[in-house]
Amino acid sequence: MQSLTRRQFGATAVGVLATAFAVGGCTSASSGGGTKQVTALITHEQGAGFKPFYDGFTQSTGYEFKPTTSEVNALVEQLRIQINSGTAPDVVRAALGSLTAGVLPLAKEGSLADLTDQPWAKNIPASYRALLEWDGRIWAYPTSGQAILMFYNKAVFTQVGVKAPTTWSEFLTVCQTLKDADKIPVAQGLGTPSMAQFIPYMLAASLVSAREPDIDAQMKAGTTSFVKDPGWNEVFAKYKTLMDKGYITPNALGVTLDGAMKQTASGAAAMIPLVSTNSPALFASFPNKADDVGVFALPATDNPDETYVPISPELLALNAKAKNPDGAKAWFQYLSDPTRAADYAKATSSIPILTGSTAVSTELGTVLKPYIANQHFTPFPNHRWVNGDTQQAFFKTAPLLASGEITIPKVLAALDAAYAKG
Amino acid sequence: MTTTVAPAISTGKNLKKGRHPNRRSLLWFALPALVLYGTVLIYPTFAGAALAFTNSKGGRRADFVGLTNFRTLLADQDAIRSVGNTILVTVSLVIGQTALALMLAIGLHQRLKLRGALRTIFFLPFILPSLIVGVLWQFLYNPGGPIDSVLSGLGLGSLIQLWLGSTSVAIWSVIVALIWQNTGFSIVVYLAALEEVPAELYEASAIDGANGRQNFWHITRPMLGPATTINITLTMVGALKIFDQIFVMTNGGPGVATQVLSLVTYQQSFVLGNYGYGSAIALVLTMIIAAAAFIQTWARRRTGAT
Repeated sequence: MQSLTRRQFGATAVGVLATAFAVGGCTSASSGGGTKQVTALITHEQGAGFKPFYDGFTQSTGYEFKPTTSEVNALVEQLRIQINSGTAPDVVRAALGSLTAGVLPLAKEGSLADLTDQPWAKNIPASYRALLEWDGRIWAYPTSGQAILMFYNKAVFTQVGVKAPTTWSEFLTVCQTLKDADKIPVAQGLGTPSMAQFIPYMLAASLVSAREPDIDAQMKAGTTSFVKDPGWNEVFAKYKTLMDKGYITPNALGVTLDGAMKQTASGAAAMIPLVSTNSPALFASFPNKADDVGVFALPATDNPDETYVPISPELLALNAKAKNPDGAKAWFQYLSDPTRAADYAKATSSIPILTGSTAVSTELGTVLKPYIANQHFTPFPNHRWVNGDTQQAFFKTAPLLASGEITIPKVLAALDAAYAKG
Repeated sequence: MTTTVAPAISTGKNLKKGRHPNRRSLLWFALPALVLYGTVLIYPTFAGAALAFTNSKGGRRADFVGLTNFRTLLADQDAIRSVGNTILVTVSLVIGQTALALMLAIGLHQRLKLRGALRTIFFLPFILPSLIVGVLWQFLYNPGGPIDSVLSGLGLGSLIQLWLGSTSVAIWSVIVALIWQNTGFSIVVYLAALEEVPAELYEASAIDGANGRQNFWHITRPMLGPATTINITLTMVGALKIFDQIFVMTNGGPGVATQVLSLVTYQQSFVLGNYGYGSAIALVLTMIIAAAAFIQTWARRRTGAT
């Protein structure tokens, strides 16, 4: 009985294993798709923007682009795990900055392939090369640029009789006029802490990055800091002014980003600072979508020529262990066509970023055109900070300025403490 | 069949040691499960614990750094604050949820017309996904939202708070939402225990002239001892590792007012990529949970309850 059971067990085990191998083999054979497939891990927004190109890419190159899309935060987690386990697809959406799935950390650990010799690489604007470059080589393809801008409800502006401001003083006057008309001048949903970045980052583009192009080198060298830097002090002083004068959403700490968008769409609030790629969610709440929404770059001084716009690139990178590196490079090349880059930018509320790109005919493209022509743009500050801790410290402290539970010097000191972690 | 089993019984030796006669065969049958358990639970657990002693940033390289991560934890004010918040949430849930569940269970144990419907209503929040609960309460707590409207309607407008936006109120708002979600489970545990209390005990006490309060204190309460142990232990363990609802409702804010240890672990590991430090925090959290469960069980045994 016992020996028979063992024999039966052994036979069953062999059968199960053989079936498993057979099934595994079949699955592998059927899903591999040869080397013609270009696999990718990208955001939902990127997926929507790329979709119109899939057929054309296949017809043009013979490769088939097969992406998996994910929410951006989940993607960062998935990418790290997939890179570690060797299961990452050919093309990956890499973040900027010093986060774990950031392009430079991934490049430094050998997880990305060098893209320096690609034809489009020479068209990367000089101001962005430092974000994608390490060891003298380029490690990512910039699909487009996303800008932080002030979006406004056109109907409210018309009703109250104000126009998009071009100086800081004009902006304060517009805010006061809107407040006098019982409108919330600027919607802020600080219950979503990341929203606390937008106004300071817009101000910092003009007051910090434009005035001190080498601020990051100075901070790394320890010759300046958030506390010492007059630009950062002015940024927070101006942000606090908006809070103190009652120009932002009352009880903003209890309101989320979604709530702030609803305030703007309903006409309760007039303006909302957003990253341009998030603006489709705002447009969706308006009857005529984007046509009901205006946009302007937030001025930080009383000289319009001193206004800079924070614009950072969205990136795709090539997995160092890609099964189809040639197909992935062909995808980047296909996207870099000026017309396609413009179409993608239009679909994702962004702008083409490679030099020589076709301008986008949207309001966003029109507003940004002079800033791009004059090189008045700069990456988001957090994309150049030495770690992710600084941005987290920003989220934990800056929103509390609205409730008066923290002072500007304490916010700046918290940023310095986080930055010092390296 | 009989002939196969009989010799095993007759030896007596194996039975004394509690061994099955076909122990080796049984081991083969258990092997797949053991391999699976070891692969998906035991190995990752120890590998994760080992990560706590490294400087892993999520990449392939990780150097041994001894106790550095634990020293960092002791100096990390945000993490220390999150330990305090975790303890506050745990103590509040253990006391609030257990007491509320006991009262409701005793009420629902009575012969009420709507007993079945009420039991379902009270249990319903427990089966809702935690993310849904988080979104639901975030909506309820909105400034000018349903809770504020009800308070205004009742003439209690002065009680309106910035429920999730105030650093002093947010943690309590989260605790209320958690109690609302989980009390249903504790009620079910108590109801099962109440069904087991012999009716004769109450009959005897009635003959002796005991009142309701005396019945509760001298009969119901001791008989519910094991159920209370289960409720306190499960609530405590659940509260110590709470994550989803807080992640959705406040993401630890405003500031760090609702930040708990599990959230710090997530942020350090998956947002900042400090996998070594994140694992160290997770290891500390695991030890706190194990210690709390051990102390609780030990205390119950020492006082004579099972």
